[in-house]
Amino acid sequence: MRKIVIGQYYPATSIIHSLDPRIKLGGTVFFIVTLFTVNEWGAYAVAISALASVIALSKVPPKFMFRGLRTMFFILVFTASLNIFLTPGENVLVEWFIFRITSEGVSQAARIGLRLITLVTASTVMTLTTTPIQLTDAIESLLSPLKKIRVPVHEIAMMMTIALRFIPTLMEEVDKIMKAQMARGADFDTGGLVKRAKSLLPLLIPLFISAFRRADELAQAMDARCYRGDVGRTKMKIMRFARRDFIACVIAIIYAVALTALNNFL
Amino acid sequence: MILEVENLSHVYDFGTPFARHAIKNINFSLKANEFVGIIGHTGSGKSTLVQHLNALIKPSGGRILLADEDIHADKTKLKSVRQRVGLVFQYPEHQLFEVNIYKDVCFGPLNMGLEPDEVALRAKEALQLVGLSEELYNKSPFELSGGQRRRAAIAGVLAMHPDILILDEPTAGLDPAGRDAILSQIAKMQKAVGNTVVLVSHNMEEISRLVDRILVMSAGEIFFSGTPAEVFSDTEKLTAAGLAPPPIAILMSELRACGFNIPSGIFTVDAAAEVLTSLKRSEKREKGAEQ
Repeated sequence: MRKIVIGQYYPATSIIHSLDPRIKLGGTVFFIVTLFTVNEWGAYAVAISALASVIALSKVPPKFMFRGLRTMFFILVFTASLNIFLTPGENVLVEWFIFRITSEGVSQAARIGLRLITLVTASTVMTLTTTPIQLTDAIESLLSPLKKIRVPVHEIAMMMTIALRFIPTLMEEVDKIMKAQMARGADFDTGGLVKRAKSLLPLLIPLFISAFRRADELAQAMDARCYRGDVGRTKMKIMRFARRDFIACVIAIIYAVALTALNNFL
Repeated sequence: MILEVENLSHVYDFGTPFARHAIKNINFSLKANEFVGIIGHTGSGKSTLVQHLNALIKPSGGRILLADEDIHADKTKLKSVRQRVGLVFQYPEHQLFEVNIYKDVCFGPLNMGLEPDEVALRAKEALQLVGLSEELYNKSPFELSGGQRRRAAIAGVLAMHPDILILDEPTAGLDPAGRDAILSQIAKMQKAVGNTVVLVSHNMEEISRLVDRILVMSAGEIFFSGTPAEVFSDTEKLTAAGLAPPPIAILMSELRACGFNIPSGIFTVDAAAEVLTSLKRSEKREKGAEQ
């Protein structure tokens, strides 16, 4: 039974962990939006040091922060090289064949690269300090105004929660059924495309059957506990806007003002 | 010795903060025609151990010899290892996938690349061995009872004619009638086919009636082993392994502690009744001699 970590929550007790998830979600979106207004190096310094202090406060080892970047590496290199080669400019550094590197291009590539890195790291900080369940709760709460126009916000959030809950269960199930069929001589990784697709049937059919069975059992269990949807439902963990959340909002506003000032008036 | 396990150990999630020893220092061997039981507390490593025996899990240390050959020595022979060592998983009925049970039983033999005639022969024979009659062959697994489904799944492994058959908790979740049916079927089959059978369970009673030898697992190691008589009379060690000794064995050891002259190795009701009546008789005789 392998430990399968969903999302990448890193358990710790820190001020960032205990912030209201709505603040963290909203704050992350806000931070990412402000990143796109940033152009000056001074403003970049402010944004990065703000992010760095959040990371320090979160008590999550910094090496976890950059895991998200590994998957981004290709996009990062691709965007940076496009910027290096395609930015028109005056100061030509290197010119060869149709390629031409200008100092403007280098500086543009560095800025875009930095922006991407900061953006991904910011969202990583959020997922590292917030459990998936807290996140869906926050999404439900933030989207609740949409209930007025009959968007089934609660149902969507419940579906997300259940889906998240069952990913590890289904992974274990896949592992088990795969081994059971391998014990009967099934072969999952040789042969051509058609043969391989066919060889998945002994895995997929039992998996679907068991998923339906589990869904049925879960529905009954929810019914037995009188679940009847959103109306009149209370929460065990109520999200409360505490003093620290207020302070976080104030800091975010100060940050935004400082950033705009540096961007426009320096 | 048809199967030997040497210094086997396995670490899950090696090199991560979640690393933990599932099994360590496992040494034992299986003889031909032997019926061996493995008992142990939940999480004692039983399932991990048996999944090593047919090469589904690669050991972190140690090796497994099947007829004097390391099962991981040749990757192309893994299929043949899995055919010779048949493993029936816990809740095997969850792996049924064909439209009817007959076709499902054919899955293993077909994967072995046998001729259609031979496949049909083996499937029928295996279904007969587990006691499923012909009118059920064309039924979908959904139309069968839980016990019947499980027997069909066991037949699916039997049809591959394994030299060693391993059953991981074959009676879990069945009612007493279904449990007895499966166990007597297994005992009958072992006598008929004469292969080696390994029965994994945490139910003392079902194991004690069937097996020749018991391995007791605790915390990933073989804690002790012996014949059912030896194992069940050692109530202290069993308790230390987190297992409840059979009630009769507890009664006998308490009577012994009170000074009654009771031989060790009594753990069934019949044997206990015999011992107690003979004890009563000899006491009467002593009383008669005194008078």
